[in-house]
Parts: sequence; C-alpha cells; structure tokens
Amino acid sequence: MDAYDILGPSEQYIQGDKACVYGALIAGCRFFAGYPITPATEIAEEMSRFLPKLGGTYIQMEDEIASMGAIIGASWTGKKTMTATSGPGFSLMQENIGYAVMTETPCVIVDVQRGGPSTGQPTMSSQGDVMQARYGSHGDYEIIALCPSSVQETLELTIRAFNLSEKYRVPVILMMDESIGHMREKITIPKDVLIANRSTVDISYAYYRPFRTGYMHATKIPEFAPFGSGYKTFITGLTHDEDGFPTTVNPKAHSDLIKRLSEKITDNIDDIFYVNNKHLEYAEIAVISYGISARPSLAAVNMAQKLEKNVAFINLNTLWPFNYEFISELSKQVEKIIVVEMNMGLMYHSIREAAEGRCDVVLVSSLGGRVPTPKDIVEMIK
Amino acid sequence: MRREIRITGSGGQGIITAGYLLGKAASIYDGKISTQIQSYGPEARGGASKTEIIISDEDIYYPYIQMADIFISLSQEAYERYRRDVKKDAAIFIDPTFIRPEKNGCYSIPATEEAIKMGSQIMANIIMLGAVAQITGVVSIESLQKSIRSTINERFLEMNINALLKGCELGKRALEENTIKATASD
Repeated sequence: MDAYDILGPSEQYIQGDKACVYGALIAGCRFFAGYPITPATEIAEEMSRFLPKLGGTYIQMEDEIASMGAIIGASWTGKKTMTATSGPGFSLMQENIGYAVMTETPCVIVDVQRGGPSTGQPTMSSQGDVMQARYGSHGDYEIIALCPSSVQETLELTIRAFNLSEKYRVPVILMMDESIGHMREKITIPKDVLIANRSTVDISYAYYRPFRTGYMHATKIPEFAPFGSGYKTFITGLTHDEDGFPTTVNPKAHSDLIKRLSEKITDNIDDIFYVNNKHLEYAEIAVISYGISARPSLAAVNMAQKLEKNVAFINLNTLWPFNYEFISELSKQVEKIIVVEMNMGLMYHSIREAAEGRCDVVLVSSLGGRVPTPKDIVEMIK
Repeated sequence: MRREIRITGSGGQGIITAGYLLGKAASIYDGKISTQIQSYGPEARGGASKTEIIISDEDIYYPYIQMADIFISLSQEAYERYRRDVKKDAAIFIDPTFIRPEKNGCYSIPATEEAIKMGSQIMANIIMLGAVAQITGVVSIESLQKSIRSTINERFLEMNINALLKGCELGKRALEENTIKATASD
C-alpha cells in the first residue's frame, strides 16, 4: 500500500505535527521509534496510527537515547527511519546523533522546540535549540538542519529532510517549534514528489569495503550496503578505516575521515542550502528569520515596503550548514541586517560572524514563548 | 479582509473543536485562508481554554490575535482571563448560563440552556458556532455543515447538525433583539 492511499483528501486542515508525519510517510519512512513529549507527541501519535497500515513499524521506546539507537539500527536494515522529540529529549539524543554522523547513517530527527533549558516551558514556543542542532554532539562534524515556518512547509521540508539524509548519509534535523507544530492550516498534499534513496552498490561481494567511496559515483559519500545484504559491513563509532574497522591511533586516518564527513556536506552547500527571499534585489535592510518568527518578520517587511522602505525578507529554511558566503555577500549590499529569533540570539552570532562588520547586525529577541509581533520588527526597520 | 476570532471556555466544553470546525469551514469549504492556534497543556479539563482563529482573503503571516474582531466565551473564568486585545466594536458572544452579559451590549446566546434541552450539554459549542456564523457571516452556514459532516463521528452527526441549525435560529433571534434594543435606545 502507498502512503497516498491512506492520507485522505488532498486538501486538509491539519497541525504542523501531522504534516510532518505526512511528509515522512510520502518520503518513504517506514520505521519510527520515539518517546512522547509535548509539543511533539502528535507526531508519535499519528505515526503509530499510520505506520502499521503501510507495513511499517512504530516502537515506543523507554527513552530518547534508546529511540535514537533504534532508528540508527533500523536504518542499517535499509529502512528510512525517524524519531521526534522536544528539547529535553533532543539533549538525550545528542550522543547517538554523533554516532549516526560517524557511521554515516541516514535518519531524520524532528525537534519541536519548546522553552528551555531543562523541562522549561513544555507548551510554549522557542527557538533555543538551533545551536544544539549544530554543535550538540562532541567532536568536529557537519550536520543538516531544516526549519519550516508553515504547515505546508513542514510537509515539504520533512520530505526534503529524508532526501538529503539519504543522499548525504547524514542525520538530518527538522527544527520545528511549538507554534508551527500545533498550528492548523490548510495543506495540499503534493503529488509526483521527487524521492531520493541512498546509493547502493552493485559490485562483487569480495571487493566491497563499506567506507570506501567511489564505487558507483565519484563522491565523498560511500555506497550503502545494509546488514543482511550479503556484503561485509562493519560499523563503529570509533575512528575507522575503509573496512569500517577501528583505527584509533593513526592521525591521518582520523583527519581523513572527519574531513570527508564534513566536506561531503560543505562541498555541496549549493545543493543543500535553500532560503526563501523576498525583495532582495534593491534592499538596503534585510530581515532574517526562521520558523514561526519568520511569519511576523514577513508581515513587518510587507508593512515597511508600504512605507517605501527597501527591505528584504530572508527565511532561513536551511539553518545548517550555514552559508557564510550568502550572508557575506548580503552584508556587502545592505546597511543593516535584523535577525529575529525566539532565543537570546543564536543564529545572530553566525550571521554577525559572516557579516564581518560590513553592516550593522541587530537582534530582535523574544523569550518566554511570546512570538514577536510584526510591530516589534517594524520598529527596528524604521 | 482579516478577521480575528477568539473562542474561550472551560476545558471539556469543546472550545478547541469549535475552533477547528470554524477554521476548517473557512479554509477548506469557503476557500479562504485560515489559521488556528490553541492554548495547550496544563489547562486541560476544567481550566480556562482558548483557541484563536484568523480568517482572511490574503495570506496570513502572523497567526496570533492582535485585536480580536469576534470574542466568544462559554465560561466566566475564561471570559475574565481572555477578554483583552478585543476591538471596541468587536462582536462579543457570551453564554448567559455562565456569564453576566456586558452592559454595552453583546450577543447573549443561551447555548448551554438549549443544548440541555436538546439532550446533551456538550452541544453548546456547536450551537454557539451556529449563532456566530449567523450573526457575523465570518463563515457560511453551509461550509460549517460540511466541516461538521467531515469531522464528527457519524453516530453524533444528526444531533450536531441540529445543534448548528438551532444556533442559527438563536442568532437570528439575538440579532432581532439587539436591533430592537438599539432602536429603543435611540
């Protein structure tokens, strides 16, 4: 049975959390392991309803550490896998996210952000985890994190998260927030969606080395042979050679490995990085935002446009990898960049770093679950 | 045109359901743009509950209420807590079983009283919805019917549709009464 057979009418009025489930099922996700937590519970709930109908598996685990472990293991059987959580659970997942990076395991992690630190504000919106998505696990690595600001975008970016995860063999994090997760809007379920699958090998069993690259494609991403496929596969979180075996005291082996893990992302930033711009061409001021904050930001930009201000709106649908070149170019064009986010200033730091003092970078910060109003932002544009 | 609607009441009165039915009717069946958000979490059964719906002909960026055009309340506690950021000329709907009517005029819809007469108090939200649609025209009655038909379990469908129609009737009556009052005070 196909996902489309069970999702219902093509136009629906649903929450962001449910749209995330729709996106995952369309993308081919057939394994979900998780532990319910506000405001991500609806994702687990809907997954438990839909997955069995598609012959998939839903497991409620004992905690988020185990959830992350389960989706990594299931991914190595060849399935597309996902988990969903919020801040406290996301913290627990960090160690295993590093393991997924090191073992190049495709999987999708959804973080529906709420107020932190710790258990914080379970029912309120926040964007306080964006740095945790980037740097939460230890060691040097690159990751992909996407951020939707509408229910429709949630569906589409969930599909994109799976596609990028499969293509680059990296965990992809979908950074939602409580507002988007619990808001209802009309969605249109897209047909004829482009679905990417991890690249597999088709060579003699004897020659396959699981972490050697270039068998089928000239890329820095090794071809994937799932457990049970007949190919010799060995995975470990330790620094490993092309056979997957631990090589822990060889500086070159380690630096080669982590450089490849990073470069497979950074070399392809043009393919991965995607933002939504408006009025960029003649802009003297740029408002950069993401998630729920992007909505009042766009409203403010439209209000300012009516006052004949040359203001651009940039919605950072891709949070990580960060495109320093894009912001650097922007800083040469505009006089001021206004960053709007529901934290004490997180993406603000990366943007300021990329602007290198060429233009003013100011922050509109909103805390406590209060979504900034268009008025808050228009004040800064004036 | 952007219209901002806040529905409030006690947890368990079907406040969120009413918001969902309204938003769905507007977006799926009236062809408008609509968002619905809801207060969530600790205020479950018993506590004050609210949902905010925006209905517009244009894209909705900010999904929260700035100044409400329509304010609906089904409990005194929720009324006191959420009757803020409401426009001066907003349409105010209250259920007189729980809330004392406002001096400056509001639509007093005896939704709970009628629901009990119809056999189930939980229909009050649908009755109120009918009255709101009838008076404000924020959504068409036909679309609300479709919204209910595509959402509510078949076993309870008939009684919900009847409740909606009852609400429309109460709306018509309230509108007449208010007109009479307004004329009398002139």
